[in-house]
Amino acid sequence: MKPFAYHQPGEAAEAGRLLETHGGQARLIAGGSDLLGELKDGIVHYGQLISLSRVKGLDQIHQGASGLRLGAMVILARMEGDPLLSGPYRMLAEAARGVATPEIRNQGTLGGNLCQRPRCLHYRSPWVSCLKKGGSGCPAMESGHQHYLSVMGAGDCRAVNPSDLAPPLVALAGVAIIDGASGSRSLPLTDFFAGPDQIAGRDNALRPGELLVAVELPPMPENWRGTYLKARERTAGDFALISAAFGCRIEEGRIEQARLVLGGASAGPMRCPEAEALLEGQAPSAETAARAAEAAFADASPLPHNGFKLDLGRALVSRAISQITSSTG
Amino acid sequence: MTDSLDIVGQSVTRLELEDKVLGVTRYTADLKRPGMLYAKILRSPHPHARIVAIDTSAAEKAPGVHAVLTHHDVSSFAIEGDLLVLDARLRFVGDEVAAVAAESPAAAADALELIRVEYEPLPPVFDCGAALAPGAPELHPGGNLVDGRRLVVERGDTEGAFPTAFRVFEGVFHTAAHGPVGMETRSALAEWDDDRLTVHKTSRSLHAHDRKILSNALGIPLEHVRVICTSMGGGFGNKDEGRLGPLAAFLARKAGRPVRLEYSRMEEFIAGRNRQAMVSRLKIGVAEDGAPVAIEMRSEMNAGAHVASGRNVTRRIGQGALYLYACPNARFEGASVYTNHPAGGSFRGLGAPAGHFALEVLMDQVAAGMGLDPLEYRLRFHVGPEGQPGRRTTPPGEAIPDEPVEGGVPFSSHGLRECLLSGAERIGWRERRQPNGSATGPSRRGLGVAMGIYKGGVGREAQAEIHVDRRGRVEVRVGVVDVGQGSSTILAQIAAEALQLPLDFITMVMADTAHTPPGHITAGSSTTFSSGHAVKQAADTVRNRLRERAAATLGVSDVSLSGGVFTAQGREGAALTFHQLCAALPEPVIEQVTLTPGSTDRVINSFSAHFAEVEVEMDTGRIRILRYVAAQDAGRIVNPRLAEGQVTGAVLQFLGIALREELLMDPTSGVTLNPSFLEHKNTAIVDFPPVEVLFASQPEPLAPFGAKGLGEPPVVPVYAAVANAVANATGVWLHEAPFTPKRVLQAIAQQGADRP
Repeated sequence: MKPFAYHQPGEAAEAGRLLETHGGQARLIAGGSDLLGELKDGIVHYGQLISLSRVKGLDQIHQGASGLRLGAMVILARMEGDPLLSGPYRMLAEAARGVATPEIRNQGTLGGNLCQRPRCLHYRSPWVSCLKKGGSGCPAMESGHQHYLSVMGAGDCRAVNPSDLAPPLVALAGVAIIDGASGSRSLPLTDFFAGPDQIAGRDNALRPGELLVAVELPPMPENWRGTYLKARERTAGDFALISAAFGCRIEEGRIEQARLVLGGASAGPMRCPEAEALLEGQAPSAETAARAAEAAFADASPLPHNGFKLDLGRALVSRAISQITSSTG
Repeated sequence: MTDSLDIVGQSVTRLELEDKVLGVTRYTADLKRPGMLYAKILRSPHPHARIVAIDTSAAEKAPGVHAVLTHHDVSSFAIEGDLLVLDARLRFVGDEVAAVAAESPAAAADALELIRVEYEPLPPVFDCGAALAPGAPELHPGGNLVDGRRLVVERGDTEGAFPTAFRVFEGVFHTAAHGPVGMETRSALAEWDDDRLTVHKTSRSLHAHDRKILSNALGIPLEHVRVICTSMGGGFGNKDEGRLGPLAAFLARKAGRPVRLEYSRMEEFIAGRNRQAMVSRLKIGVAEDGAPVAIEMRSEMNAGAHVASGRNVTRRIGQGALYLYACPNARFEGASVYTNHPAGGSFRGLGAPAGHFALEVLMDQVAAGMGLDPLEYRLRFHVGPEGQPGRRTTPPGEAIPDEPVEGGVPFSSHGLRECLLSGAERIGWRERRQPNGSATGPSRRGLGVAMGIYKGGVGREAQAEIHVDRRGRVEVRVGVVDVGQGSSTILAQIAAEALQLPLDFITMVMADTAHTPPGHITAGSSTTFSSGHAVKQAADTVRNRLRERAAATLGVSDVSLSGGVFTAQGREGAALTFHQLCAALPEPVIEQVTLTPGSTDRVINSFSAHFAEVEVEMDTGRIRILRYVAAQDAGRIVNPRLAEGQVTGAVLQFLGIALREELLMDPTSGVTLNPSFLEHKNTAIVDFPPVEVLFASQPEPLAPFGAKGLGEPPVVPVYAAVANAVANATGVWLHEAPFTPKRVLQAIAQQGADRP
């Protein structure tokens, strides 16, 4: 690992200023569970690390009139068991519990989880150059090992955001709260992450000098329920190949307010409006679930070696819908 | 053989258990010396290149750096035929370019970046077909086909027999490269005292390999080299004999200080010796009743940059096809092929698991095609105690090979049938197995069986020494390494049983060339059989000498020995403790034995029959192992708890390999893309089933106390037991491992889930 300077600002705005000052040389560090690995493996190098550990108020989960606010420095282990993450928000606790291992969950934060870098094997290899690392080509396209790449979109870089929290947060209509050198702003999470036709250099909508400080979730009806399912090669300590967050409420035997979000399918978490529309107002059934699953992947454009992820994704979507609609209402 | 055994057959606690549990055990990488330096290796970024120029001047001047080593600084001694200590020619991404010794690991790592290398990239070749094609870049003089020829072994006449077959079944089977992942990474600590060298090293062969290699590479007499490996954190046949020791020793000599070189996990995956990818084309001809009349297997192993023990790996792919089923005509053809992948080498089971995968899955397809239950098929056609049909080819009086080809030689012991029957009973085969598994629905269950045949542990020259001194200290000195499998405990039990002394009277001295007689490599599941033989013979002699002396002291013609007390026969009350006898010894009793155990008229092999129950999710391709029964014939079991651990560990290791583990190579750059536990999917404990272990009851008449090899045999049938259970559940045959969701879904898509 190469040497770096370590900053511990006390305010988010100061962190933003440091980011702005050092530009591409600077990177935020929260739990460090992703970043330190990248630095040690020589995949990236930053001369300036800006720690968020002393920025006050970022590690709170707060219930207010406008909904639930989750600070970016809340660790995943806390999300697993926080009493506020119940009812409609229980899917978040479920998703947090499925991340990596207890050691990582004690260290990793919500903000870090959302801003972590892709698991694309070529991006993660110190021996190969790629678009996301500033190189001129994408070796993953020529490789048979495409299981961590997207099945949607047509960007030059098909790496995906591997976050397990992003899909349920998007399903809950989460809003990114952004702070920085030039003030604060908010952005729906759907617009926060790179879209299907991403530019390789950018994972999210943060501008130079900006940082994610919280995610706000609007109030949800008491009887809305969601779940998060993922397909992995092993049951623990593994990243999702593809995942699905689904939630709805059942009113008089009909599906209402359906939200379906895929992870690992596109560059960022991807809502499936056609599938949601198809479910809206329908009586739950295995056939309905299967049709929604088909619709979710209708526009898929898999790579030569990751078409199997469509099978996995459809199975997860069907299961998630059946699971929620059979246990709700 | 003694009928009543006191110590052999008991689950005594392994000798080093307490130290390991308390964290007292010191492995190679735990060792430190005053003034010790830390070594790091510069690795090739190219899959195939030549070093045109290398400038180490900046690195040598870097703070804390004491030595930099390049191919200019080492002897031209070949560690193996195709492997130099350092080489100007680089053959895989991660190949060793240079090494640095510095006062801290960080200083060494920083200095690597100051080494300027001018590379001339050469065209690489990654797969066997391309490597064997005319005009392919040659990795070593003589071409990419190792030894310039394919290995061919044959019994009878397959070419003549196939046309007479009632039906012929064929299949092509692939297994992937994977990392053996011992928990301890490779490590060596070298220190010089004048022109004498001591090396602590992760090893499986101190005497037979490391000491000789170091002596030759460093140009010093053998007697000046001491190699030690008293504790190993995982061997699995994989802690090889490569560059590690010489690099540490050259650096230490150049720096004038002790040097420790320890691989990172990433290095272990890239530059350790991996299990390489294999492909086998198998053809089985059967008679109208289903009996095999001809079996032919053609296999290729992608050996990577250096072949090491790869010839044996390839040879063992074929052993199941040659010998597991009674068949007059059998032929194996194997090729080891150099490519620009990382070097392969030995790993538990060598090629046998891959070969049995092909054989045992295609045999299930044969049984299905002939309308026979797979268990019944095996009970009817497995090789019997009489051995293979045909004529003996080994000249009379010569030892029968442990990987036999010839017919006409019976087995010395043969517990295969017992394993099949006991395993089938345990898993409930006859009551529970349906021809089409659980047949329908999104989750389907099935049962599968597979057998295995493997070396029983003969054929290695073994030596043992026993010293009994006047304090009553009994030292059993054996040069082999306990690689973590528990052989020190097993050999101590054999010694105690033969000496008729309590186990805690025995002190084992192993794995230190300064204090042990030459020992064989820990390989081929041979320690219990071969070194056990030497220990038993030495102990028998010592016991008899001590008894004679005790009888003379007591003035009787014979004594009995029990619990460390000699009791006079025929004279009431006269007794002598072992320590009293020793105190009166005029000089220590020393017995040294050298032997090569085996048989001139019997095959000595170990057998397995494994049964798996699986559940397959048809929509996600996920396989869950619900239950696993492993029945093993290893003769008499010396220590049931250790043996059960061996078998359970073997099965879990290979369930992981069968289902998930794979080294992913980038096809254009040759880079190993997943050199980490995160992406090389070693199985997490939640995905493992309980393993039920059964042992056959028949002792091996020619083995020490009847015990045959057990280290490797239980890994052999695992791929096939799982694949056959999946086939029973789904109707889909898996011919490509590991059985990841991607491959399972592809197989379902190609073969069709014909059941609704």
